[in-house]
Amino acid sequence: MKTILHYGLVLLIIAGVAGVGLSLVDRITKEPIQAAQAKRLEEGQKLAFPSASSFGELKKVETEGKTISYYEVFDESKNVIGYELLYQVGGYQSQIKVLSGIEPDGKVVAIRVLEQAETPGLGAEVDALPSNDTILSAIKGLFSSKEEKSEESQIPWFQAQFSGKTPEDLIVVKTKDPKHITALSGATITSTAVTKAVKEPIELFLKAKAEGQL
Amino acid sequence: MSLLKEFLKGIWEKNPVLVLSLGLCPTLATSGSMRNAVGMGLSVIAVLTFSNIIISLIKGFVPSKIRIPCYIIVIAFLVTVVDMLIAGFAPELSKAIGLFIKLIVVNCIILGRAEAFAAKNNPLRAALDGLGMGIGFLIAISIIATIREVLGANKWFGLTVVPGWDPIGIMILPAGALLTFGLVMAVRNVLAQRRAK
Repeated sequence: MKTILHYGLVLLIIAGVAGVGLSLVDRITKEPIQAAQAKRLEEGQKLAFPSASSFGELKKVETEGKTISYYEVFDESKNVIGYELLYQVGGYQSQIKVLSGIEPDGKVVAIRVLEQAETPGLGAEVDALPSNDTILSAIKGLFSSKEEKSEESQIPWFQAQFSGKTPEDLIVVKTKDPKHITALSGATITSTAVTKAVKEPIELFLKAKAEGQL
Repeated sequence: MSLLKEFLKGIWEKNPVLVLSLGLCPTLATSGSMRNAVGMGLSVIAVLTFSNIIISLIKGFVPSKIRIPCYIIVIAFLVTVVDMLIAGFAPELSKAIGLFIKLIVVNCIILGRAEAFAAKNNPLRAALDGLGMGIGFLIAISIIATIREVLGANKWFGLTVVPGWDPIGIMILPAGALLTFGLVMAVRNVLAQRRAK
């Protein structure tokens, strides 16, 4: 009996101190963590609909048993000029979260992969920037002061392919074809998953919209 | 054993990855690129050093029968702190290795050093042991990551090494991790045997 009390007390003290410590650290980090998440979403929203001036609150619509989360996209005079759909599908080894900016008729403006943890070097290349940086040029860059970063190089080439396509065009092909989506080499599953994460919500969303559910 | 030796043993003589074969799960998982490997290595150094110090401090207070749950609480506490700090102040790093940070809780290097060393030595020695073991882990994982990233993606820290060369894709996959790990371990053994002669 005495030992049980002793052990219990020791565990209680250790767990208690750890708990208090964690709540203190949580106080310090809560705001930066939320700010970082909000910033990531905000950057994604801008990239997925560059001509937008503001975005609405997150809304949800249900159709065919699936829930689509979306934001309304406004121009300067608060007219709805399009939507951004948030959707998640399973990739090769992770959940892929995609934000797709679309015009009211379903044509893709731009997409942004918000979260993924696919195979580095293969599937994770959906986030690869069209970088020509080599070690040599990076070392040279250290010694020259000018910064050369164009806006275009901020959009990964795989994701850039979706811009301007209609849902019917969103088919993954393995040979280069500007009309469809060219798969990443060695990562067909990831490529298909991202394409599905764009195409499926657009089709469901248009259907819900036609039914007057918005 | 002198204090300097206590620190150095983790780097070569008792390298946690290459000699003690501890912490292989995070080694194999995060050595696909230098950026992930260094992030993981630095997190392990921080957690290992502090967990060793704390466990050495509370060793007289913790009854030996319930030492394992006590150590786990201390380690889980530290890992959660590191996880929250990284998520708050280095969101890009958190995006890349956030998943692995949580795995440090069950990283056997940390529990292993707590049990085998920190629980029997004073806080200063425990801190040096943790620091040395952590640095040994960082060095081992960096060597493996360099080989894998250069051969498997033709990159180092995300920068192209040889323009125009088509890399060997398998090196970036789990099979490449096992191959590289085995070869690095073999090279270390050969060097150690030569030195012993």
